[in-house]
Amino acid sequence: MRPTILTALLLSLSLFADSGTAAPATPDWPLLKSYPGKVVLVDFWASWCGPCLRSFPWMNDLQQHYGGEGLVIVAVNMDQDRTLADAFLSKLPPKFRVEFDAPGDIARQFGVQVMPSSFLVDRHGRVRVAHAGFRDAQRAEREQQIVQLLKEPP
Amino acid sequence: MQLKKPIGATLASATCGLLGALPAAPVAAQEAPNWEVDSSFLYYGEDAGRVMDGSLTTSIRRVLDEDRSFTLNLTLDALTGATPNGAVPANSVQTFTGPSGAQDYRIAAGDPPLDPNFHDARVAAAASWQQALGNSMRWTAGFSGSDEMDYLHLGVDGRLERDFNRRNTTVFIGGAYGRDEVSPIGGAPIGLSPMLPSVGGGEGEGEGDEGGGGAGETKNVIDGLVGVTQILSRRALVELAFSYGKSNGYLTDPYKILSVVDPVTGRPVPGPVGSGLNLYLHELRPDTRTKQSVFAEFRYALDRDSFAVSFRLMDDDWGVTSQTAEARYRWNISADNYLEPHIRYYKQSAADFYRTVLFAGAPLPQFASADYRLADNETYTAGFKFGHRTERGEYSVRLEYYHQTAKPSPGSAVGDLAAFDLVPPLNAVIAQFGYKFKF
Amino acid sequence: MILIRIGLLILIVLAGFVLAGCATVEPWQRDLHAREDMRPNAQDMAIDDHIYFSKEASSGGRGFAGGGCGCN
Repeated sequence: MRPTILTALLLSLSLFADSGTAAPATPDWPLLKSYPGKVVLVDFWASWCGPCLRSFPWMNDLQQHYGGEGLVIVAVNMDQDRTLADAFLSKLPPKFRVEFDAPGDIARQFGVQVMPSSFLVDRHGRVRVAHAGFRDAQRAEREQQIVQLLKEPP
Repeated sequence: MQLKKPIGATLASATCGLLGALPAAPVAAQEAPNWEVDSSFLYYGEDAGRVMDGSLTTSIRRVLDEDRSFTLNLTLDALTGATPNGAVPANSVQTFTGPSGAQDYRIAAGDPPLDPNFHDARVAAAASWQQALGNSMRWTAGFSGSDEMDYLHLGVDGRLERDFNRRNTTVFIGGAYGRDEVSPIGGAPIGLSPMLPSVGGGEGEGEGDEGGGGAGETKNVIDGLVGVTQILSRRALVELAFSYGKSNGYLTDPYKILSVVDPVTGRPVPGPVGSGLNLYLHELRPDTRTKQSVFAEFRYALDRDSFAVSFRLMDDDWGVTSQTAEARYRWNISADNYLEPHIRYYKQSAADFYRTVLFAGAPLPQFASADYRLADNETYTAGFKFGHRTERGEYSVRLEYYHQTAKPSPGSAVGDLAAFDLVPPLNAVIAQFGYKFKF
Repeated sequence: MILIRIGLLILIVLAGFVLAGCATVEPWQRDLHAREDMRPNAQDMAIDDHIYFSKEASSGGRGFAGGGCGCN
């Protein structure tokens, strides 16, 4: 009797399938309009998120390297306690733009499913690539994606 | 002597270290440390000349990348002191045979019978591998082993976790299998047979020729755990778990005995003719045990502090049912210091075959044990943990006081025995010093 | 044994309720759960478990997975 209950429970749980990342085609975010013709990497992070913090040095490199070619990185901070974000930023000042979205309006618009999440917006304001999480092993591939989008004409 | 309780729990301890307590999710960190080391020195000391234990535990974790890590645990343990042997006090001197090779010992009139041959050293090691499987699943697999003078444990364990609802819900399922080998000095005695005097001057090498039962006894344990952790809100979390365990093989404690006394006077009766000992019978437990438990924990984060409360109900086919309630409050005094008071209450009912004492002339039961750990008992634990973080790592001190009272089986306090504390209370102090760091 | 069956049924019913997603917390609202004190300390739990089952007839029964920051 017991094994049957457990099996039933587990099987029923499989119905709760994970919904994938659903990035909108063209987010309605005024900030994006202030970068016409640029490739924008929108990254959602928080001071309490380990992988987020590990992506900072990489994003600094990218901004320095490709800024001249039209890459803009906007790191949207999601800390509910702003003081923690400020403390972090004062210790490790980033070379890219930081925005704040504690209420989560922008994150919801982009359909953030996990922390961190990043979205590559092309020169026409369309989201082309979405990444859930940050993994060192994916850096090369992600850099390639940026290079590809930078090659596109504005 | 077992440093670990042999009632099928030896494996459970090792596996619960691996199954339950080590979460597979990556640790949030400022830099990207690849190594995490956590070590503790523990002192456990009971009063009234009973057990004292010193141990050193280290856990080393190597994070290979965001999805894979490897953990190694090592424990060294040294045990000394004396433990109740299961007999009851008497108004006369009592002599007990030490396990072959160990000293015979005498207990003064009126004193609780404690077996002083309780020195042992143990080494335990466990290794486990944690890996992500796709975006929402993680598996863990490991093996463990421990060795002490007369007890060897080997085990394997595994666990699978799956996230749902944007990681708000996590379901986990785990299993463990262990094989233990008990090699009591002098061989395992025949259950419910009388204690006999040592053969030839106490120098036995413990190869198990005397006393019957064979050189080594084995025990197999299977444990299963299934549960769910659910984030309820930005501040609250609840966890529910159901576990099932089955052990079979040699579950008896080869060093524990029961006194046989006169049913009216409560005085010891003479043992086998010519032995010069009173009549004490070696205990005997069933060779299978099935346990189930239900566990629930609620955690809540305040702006600065947090607290956790948990409950566990356990039930088995030996007649033991238990309830455990525990609460912790974390006071985050500052970014670098915290204080965490803790209380725990535990209550269990006696095993069906638990008998504080046996009466001469009464029919011999099928199974019997006078081990206080199987009695009707209640424990209270209260303590705190203090932690201090530095640039390099975190120091911590934990101090707990453990108090257990037990009830003898009904009708035990006949004659002389009414004047004694048949199952004396246990008071212990636990002191733990820890240091953990990452690099 | 009845106690355990009732407990198990409660477990399943509650699991059903909670898994229905009665409260879905956004990924960026996991800040408090990410705090180190919101997860049990693995080594302390293992040490305690070892002490308690050396002195009592029950052991383990708990597990912990999930919770935390929910990152990656």
